[in-house]
Amino acid sequence: MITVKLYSAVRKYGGKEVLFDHKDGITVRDIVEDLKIPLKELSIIILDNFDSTPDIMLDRIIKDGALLHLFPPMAGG
Amino acid sequence: MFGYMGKLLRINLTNNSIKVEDLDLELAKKFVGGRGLGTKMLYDEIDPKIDALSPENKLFFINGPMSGTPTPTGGRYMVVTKSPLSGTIASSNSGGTWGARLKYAGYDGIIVEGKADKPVYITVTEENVEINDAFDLWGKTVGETTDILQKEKKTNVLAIGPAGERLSKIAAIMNDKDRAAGRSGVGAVMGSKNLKAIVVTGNLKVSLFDEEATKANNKEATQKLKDNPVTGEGLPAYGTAVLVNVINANGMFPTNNFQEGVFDNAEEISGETLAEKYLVRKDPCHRCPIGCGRYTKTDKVEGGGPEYETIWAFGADCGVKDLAKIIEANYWCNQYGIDTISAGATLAAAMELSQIGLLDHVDFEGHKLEFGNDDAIVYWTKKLALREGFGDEMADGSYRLCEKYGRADLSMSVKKLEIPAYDPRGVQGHGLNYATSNRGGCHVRGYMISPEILGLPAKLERQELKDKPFWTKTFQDLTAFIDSTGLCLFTSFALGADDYAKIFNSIVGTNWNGDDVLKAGERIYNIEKQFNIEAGILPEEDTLPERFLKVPMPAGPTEGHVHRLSELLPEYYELRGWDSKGAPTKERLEDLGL
Repeated sequence: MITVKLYSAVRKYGGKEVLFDHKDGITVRDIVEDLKIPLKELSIIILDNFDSTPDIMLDRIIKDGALLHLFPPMAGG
Repeated sequence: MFGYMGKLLRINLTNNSIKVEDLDLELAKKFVGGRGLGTKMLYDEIDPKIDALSPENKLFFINGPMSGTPTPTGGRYMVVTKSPLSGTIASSNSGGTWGARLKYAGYDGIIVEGKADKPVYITVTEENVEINDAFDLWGKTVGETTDILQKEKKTNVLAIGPAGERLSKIAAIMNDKDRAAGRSGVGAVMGSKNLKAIVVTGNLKVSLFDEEATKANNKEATQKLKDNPVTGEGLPAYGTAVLVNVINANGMFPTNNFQEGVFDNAEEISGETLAEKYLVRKDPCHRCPIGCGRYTKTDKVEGGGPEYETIWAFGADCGVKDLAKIIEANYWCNQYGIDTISAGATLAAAMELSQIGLLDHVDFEGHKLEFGNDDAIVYWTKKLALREGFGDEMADGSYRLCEKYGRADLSMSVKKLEIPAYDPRGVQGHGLNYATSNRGGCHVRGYMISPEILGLPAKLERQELKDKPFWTKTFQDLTAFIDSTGLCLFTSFALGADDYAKIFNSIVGTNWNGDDVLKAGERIYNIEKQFNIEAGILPEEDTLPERFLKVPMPAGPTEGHVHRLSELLPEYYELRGWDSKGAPTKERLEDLGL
């Protein structure tokens, strides 16, 4: 099982949390495409406690039991 | 004179003198305005060693050249003084409309000196300036004071609340009811002068060097702010509290006075939940197309805020998950005129003192200060502001409270100013910024969260040390310039140094480029540092609380990390042209024209 958490503007693509069955070789890109989230609407992705931008993260392979966070561009302070 | 009104108002409350002075235009351009010009003038006019709450301290309410112009977000002002909390330079920035209104009344700034022998308030119009008896206003909340003094539409009110009157070293100066020059205890300086409020009325226009170019620049800047997903979508929809989840998911959302980095109930206090349950409308500052400000309502209170930092301070830092109670604590901070970050963080420090048994003798009046007690945050915020009961021990911030019980190390502060909502163990550059910020533990002197967490303008790996001193210095210098213009720092999510240079040139008539902007910022940063050194701030105060340097984060995505300040600081000083103890060298000061 993979737990995907969505935040703020990208919640419109699946609510707060979506669960996916794990498949061998499944990548972050597969999840993003399945949820139909346009890439330009993603800014920060966190997988297994490592955070970076989509260009670094999309082709990462997701392990069973992983937690994936998907964030749109955001700032504050 | 373009951009500037050309006049400063100097009011001495000891002898009731009111003088109008010409602005030194060359000095103004060199230090831009706001934070820069205010600091330069304060440095020249007071001995940095003075007691901040003595009549010798001065209060500068000072605008930048872009305040009151049509430039997007051009309405902010700075309060510059010596801080009673940290003993450093204080420069607290605020939005709303009051700053712009001061220019519409004809002034770039007001300098308040001395001390009135009884409570007074000042009224400023285009034609007249008066010092008035404030006997009937003393003791009133910010809301009550504003309602009494706000007599016409083109009037804006700045005031302190009961916390400033009682000289709380974490008191804020409020304007337009719920906008705060929040940090460093500037409200106590105003209270020490027996000054309750400044009421400004005016309708003048700011002259622009090149009206057509300014119009074109503004159009371009507004478009960039609208097209940018952060300033055009994220901030307007969710406010600054949109950060709760991303900071928590990175395991650096300080919980229970920074004992942990993950708050299990983050979603319940997030910007998303705020928008869903309590948001009434956006509440933008003067001429702001972003509109990150919130106007919220619960079944008990309604008003401006809360911001991300406030939600964290009263929320995760106190272990509290009830957002309605956090909104209520924020409301009372605004009414009593107190800094939400320092107030919440001080309650959190008291909760840790209580947790380890050092407050067993305290009468908590049925509202025990313990992590997770949502009722206590509202009750003790009021008591803190009013200096009642145990609130009196908390009214001067977490450092003095913890020091009293022999555990100054439990105050999560730098130079006695409470650190905001990002655990430095999770973000190396931002931790360096905390340690080297000239006003102490502050996030908005060099907001390294942008590149290290949010990927703006590009992502830097948060635990990496390489290049962090360079980027921290660059962010600090750019921020010093922006803070001096009268624009909002949030414009920097969409605009860069070259954009600011172009806007500055069209308004003031200079011929600057992006490098000139950064150099002006560096000049401002150095004079602040020089003020601090002469005030007696020691080199070893450029540091972080021991918890961040020695205790690894216990769990979550930042587990095992400490902040590696000693590996960053030497390179940072070298880049700044400072000696190994962090003092600007003579050559560097000369190079910057200081």
